[in-house]
Amino acid sequence: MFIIGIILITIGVIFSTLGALGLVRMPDLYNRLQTSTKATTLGAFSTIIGVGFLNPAWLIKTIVIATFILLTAPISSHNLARASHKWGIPLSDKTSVDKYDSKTGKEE
Amino acid sequence: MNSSNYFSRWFFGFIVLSLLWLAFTFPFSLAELYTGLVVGAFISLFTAKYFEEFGISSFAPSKILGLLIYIPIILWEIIKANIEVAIIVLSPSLPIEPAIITAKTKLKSDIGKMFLANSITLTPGTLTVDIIKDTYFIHCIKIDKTDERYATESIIGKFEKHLRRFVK
Repeated sequence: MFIIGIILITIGVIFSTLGALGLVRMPDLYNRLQTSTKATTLGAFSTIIGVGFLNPAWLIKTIVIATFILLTAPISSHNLARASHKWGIPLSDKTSVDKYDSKTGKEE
Repeated sequence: MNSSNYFSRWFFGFIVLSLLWLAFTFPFSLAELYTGLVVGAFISLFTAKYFEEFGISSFAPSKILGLLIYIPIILWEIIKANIEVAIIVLSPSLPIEPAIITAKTKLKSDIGKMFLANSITLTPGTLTVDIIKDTYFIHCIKIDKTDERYATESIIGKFEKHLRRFVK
């Protein structure tokens, strides 16, 4: 139990660090959201479950909390991306196609 | 609109809230159990109108089995996604070709679309920007083809066939 907990927490810390690094290295908001959402979701998920393994009395509670994070983190990042696209924050120069603009005009 | 009646919706909300409460107060005492049941029944009186679209029919064994099969699949995809993003972030040249593409889904219900959108966001290099009716606008970190049919098959296809087992 102890070893599994330590391994999970280590994985969580590594991915959180990579997420932070991605936040610095990526060129625009949308790519930053990509790295930060994925990396921090797994980072937080695995750290919280790891704490549950270190203290087995908390295991079920930590699984519930981790499930909430898994369900809500993508929604917040989806909303940030949608709001910033509507507000007109530009995509990076490397972007090849943007099919979103034309369709929003039709929707409104 | 009304795909199941009010009582069925209320009962579904009641069961889910009670189970959550039991999980949170795990080594539970009887007093806590009663409190949870009463509060759960009370809350789902108000939320039944808006949530729990399919009511008790969500507890059909085939649907629960579908959900249980889906969980390991999505966890595996999340791990793959993280390794892929980690490789991109760590490589010095930053090999990205971002694009916003469209893809179509066959799922009808709101909850099904929500599951699919969340799954897309959590998996390799894709982020759902918006959903308009059955069209998903997906921001990809790295894409070879921007063709709609290719995107529908490669991004949505792998989740849709599993999701259709438990949501419409």
